[in-house]
Amino acid sequence: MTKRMLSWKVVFITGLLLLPHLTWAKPLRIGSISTEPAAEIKEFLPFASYLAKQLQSEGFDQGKVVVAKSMPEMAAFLKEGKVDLYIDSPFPTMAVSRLSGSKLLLRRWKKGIGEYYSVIFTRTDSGINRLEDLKGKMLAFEEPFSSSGYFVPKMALMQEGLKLVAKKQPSDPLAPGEVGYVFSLEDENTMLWVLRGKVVAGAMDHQKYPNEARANLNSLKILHKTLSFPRQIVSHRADLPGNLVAKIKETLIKMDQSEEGKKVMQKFERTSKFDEIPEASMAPLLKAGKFIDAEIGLR
Amino acid sequence: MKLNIRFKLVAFALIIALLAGGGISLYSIYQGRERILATFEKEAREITGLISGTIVDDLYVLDLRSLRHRLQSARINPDIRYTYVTDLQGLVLSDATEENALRDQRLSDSFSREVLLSAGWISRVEGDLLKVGGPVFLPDGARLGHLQVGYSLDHAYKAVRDTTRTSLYITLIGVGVGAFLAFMVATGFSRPIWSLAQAAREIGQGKLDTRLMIDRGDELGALAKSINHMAESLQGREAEAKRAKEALEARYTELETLQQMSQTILNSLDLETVLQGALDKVLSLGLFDLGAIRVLDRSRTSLEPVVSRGFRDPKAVRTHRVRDVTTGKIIDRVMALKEPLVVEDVQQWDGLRTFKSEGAQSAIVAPVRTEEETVGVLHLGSRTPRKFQPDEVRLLEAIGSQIGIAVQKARLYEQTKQQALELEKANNVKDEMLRFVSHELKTPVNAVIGYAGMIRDKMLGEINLEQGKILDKVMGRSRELLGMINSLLEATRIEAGAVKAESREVGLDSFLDELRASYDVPLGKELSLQWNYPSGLPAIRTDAGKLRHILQNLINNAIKYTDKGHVLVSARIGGGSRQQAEGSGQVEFQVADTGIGIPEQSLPFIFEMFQQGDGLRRAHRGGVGLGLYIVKEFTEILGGKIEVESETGKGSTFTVTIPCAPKRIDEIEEEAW
Repeated sequence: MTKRMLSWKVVFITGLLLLPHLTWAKPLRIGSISTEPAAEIKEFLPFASYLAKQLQSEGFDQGKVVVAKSMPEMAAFLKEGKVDLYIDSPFPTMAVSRLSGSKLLLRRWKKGIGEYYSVIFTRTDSGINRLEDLKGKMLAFEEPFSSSGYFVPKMALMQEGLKLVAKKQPSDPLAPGEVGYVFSLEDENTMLWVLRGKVVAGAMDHQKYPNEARANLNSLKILHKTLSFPRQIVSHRADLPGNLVAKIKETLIKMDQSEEGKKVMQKFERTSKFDEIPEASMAPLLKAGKFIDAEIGLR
Repeated sequence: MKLNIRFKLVAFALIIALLAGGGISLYSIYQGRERILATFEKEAREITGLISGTIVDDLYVLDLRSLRHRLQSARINPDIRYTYVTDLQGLVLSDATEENALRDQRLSDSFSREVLLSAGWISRVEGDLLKVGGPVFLPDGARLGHLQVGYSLDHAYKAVRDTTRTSLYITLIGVGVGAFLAFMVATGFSRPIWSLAQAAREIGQGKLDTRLMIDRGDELGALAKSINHMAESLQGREAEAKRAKEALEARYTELETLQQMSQTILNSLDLETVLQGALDKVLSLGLFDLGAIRVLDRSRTSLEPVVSRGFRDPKAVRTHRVRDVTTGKIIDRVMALKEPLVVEDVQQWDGLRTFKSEGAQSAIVAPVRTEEETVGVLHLGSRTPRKFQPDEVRLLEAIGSQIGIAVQKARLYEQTKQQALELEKANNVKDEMLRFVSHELKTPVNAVIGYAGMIRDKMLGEINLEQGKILDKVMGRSRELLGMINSLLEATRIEAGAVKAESREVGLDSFLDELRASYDVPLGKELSLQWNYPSGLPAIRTDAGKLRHILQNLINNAIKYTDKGHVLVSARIGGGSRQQAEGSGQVEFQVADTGIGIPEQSLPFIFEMFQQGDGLRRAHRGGVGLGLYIVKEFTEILGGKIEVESETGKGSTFTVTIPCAPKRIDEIEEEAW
């Protein structure tokens, strides 16, 4: 065998070895909804990279973060296969699932919290003592895709029989019997507006409530506490292979068992672990399909 | 510490540069700092205003999230340390952090309180912060809240430091350039000044040929020219001074020579010694190698050499005499011209044979002159040819005159010495004769008196009255003659210096009483002898014998020259009191008569030897005229004095004054001599 022939064989074998990569190598895409894509990508990227690395055997060579501006866009990304995994709070996850057919996978313990609930609060001197008293009043929710700051409390109010009407400004007029609401875009705004009387009541998750109220806690009172629901949910596109899903699930559940996984999770909004979604806490949301459809305009 | 002018100029320029540069730099730094801080403050206010404009909507709708985002966006300005938005009550709405930890808190610092009350933007520097704050208004003027922004002054201060550093660098460069220029200018000034100082020092040290080569058009150039001119002037004056000095030295040498020559002449009366010294002095001037002095002999026909110096053959000089002064030879001409003759070439000269033989090349023959005539010749020769200066000739002429004086003086001395010898010889003959005559006369006169007395006392037989009278006259005349002889002998002893005072204590009372008693005899004429002296006169130390001789002589003369009237003898203490008399007073004795008196013209000579006042007194009363001479001499020996007052025909008054406490006898003797 001549040296020339040996060189060609080396090139050929190397090419064969690299062929699968050239053919099958792909990124693992993690999706999120945000109006600040840069900050979001910065937050999600280490997690995506870690997960892709763990799933290298499944043909993923890198992790990528795909940020959508809205739930419909995210649903489209999932449908089109541009997003493999979507991680968000229950309401947007459910909404996107109903739009794209994505499947719920695991619960994410964001900031060390597995479940939480929302509170509807008002000032003690507002004269509001019951939810019924909110009729003809203006409420403040955080933002349209917030579970704790909008969807869950709104659903709770509606389940109480109140008619909630979206308004552009807190000062917009209200029809008798309806409860108007505006988006403050920030829990802090919600608290401020309530305290300053810009709105009569506001809603946010029970953990943020005392933090935002601070010294004004005594001048506030809680009108209603909602049911608990998972803090965040990991979902995947509908067409993701089952073995891959299983592999992902296994990897995520075991992620808190390795030091590297812990470090990545810590950076990823202080996530403490991923586990199975408790059926009890998910049940109310699963029953709110119509409500969700109404919110996302499917009906 | 001495500092040179260059150092001073450089130091001065540096100080000025430092002061000016430092002042400008400090002013620039101060202005720069103020400008930077003012600009920073202005920009901070503008930025704060812009921030205010961006948050007004958020503040209006109370959108803390947007407010935070906008405030955080504002933090793109690295100088902003904090941004606070408060409501109208001063409660914080947003501190621009995610945590918004200050929310709902009231800012209680003084600046925040001022902001609440302010109608516009205010600012204040606190520490390293510039605080800017003010109300946030809606376009309709409604106040929504307040905005406070804290700006770090680090950049401003850094800019101040940079500006300060730059100013300092510029100042240092300026000072450095100034120092360099100052050094160059100072060197430009100091170098010629140093040259001027050096030149002045050299000129001061006497290097008058020093000249400055400074070609400048300014004051230093003018000064250099002046110094050069001064040096030239000094050089000329130095030459003049040198000439004057030489002249003065020559004159001094001349005078010194003349003075020394005069001293030589004064120191000796021996002609040869004097001339030898004079010639040595002349030769010591170094002008001549040999010389001789010839003096006109007593016959005035020959010039005889007295002294000579420097001759190889002195014998030739001594044997060469110029016999005839009228033969027209050189010496004769000198004697005739009466001034120095300069012979610059002896060998070609007609005469000066001795000098020629001695090899003299040049010579001066100067007359030795007195005031009246030329008495000799001074020969001076040089064995090297030379020109004689007028001063030298004049000096030799003066020396010739000096030598002439010496010659005259020596001759006068010789003459006087001879006369003195002759006088001494004559005096000795006289004294011998007087002693001889006196002694030889005294013996027979004593014999005459003795024998006449024996006859008068009838020891040799009876005599008649007439014989008695004659004997009385013989004895009287003999006694007078004896007195004259005694006087002569006494005068001779006085002249010979053989009379001395013998001092002892003398009681004046008893002395005068005894004297008075010796005159207690009839005077044989209408004359009264009166005594007037107080009792209790003191005792004095004196020679009683000589005092008695004095008073007796005066009393006897008074009696002798007074035929009628009185003779008054008086004594008194001249000093007044007895104590004074015993101390340092004088005793005054006075003998006054009413006799014939002494003519006024005779009074000056009355106490000289062999004087009797006038021919009448001598003819009328006899005597040899030695009495008053002896009285005067004795009075002086006793330390006193004698005075006389007289008027012809009215009488005379002699006053003798002697000291009560006379000087020691030896002192009296010394004064007497």
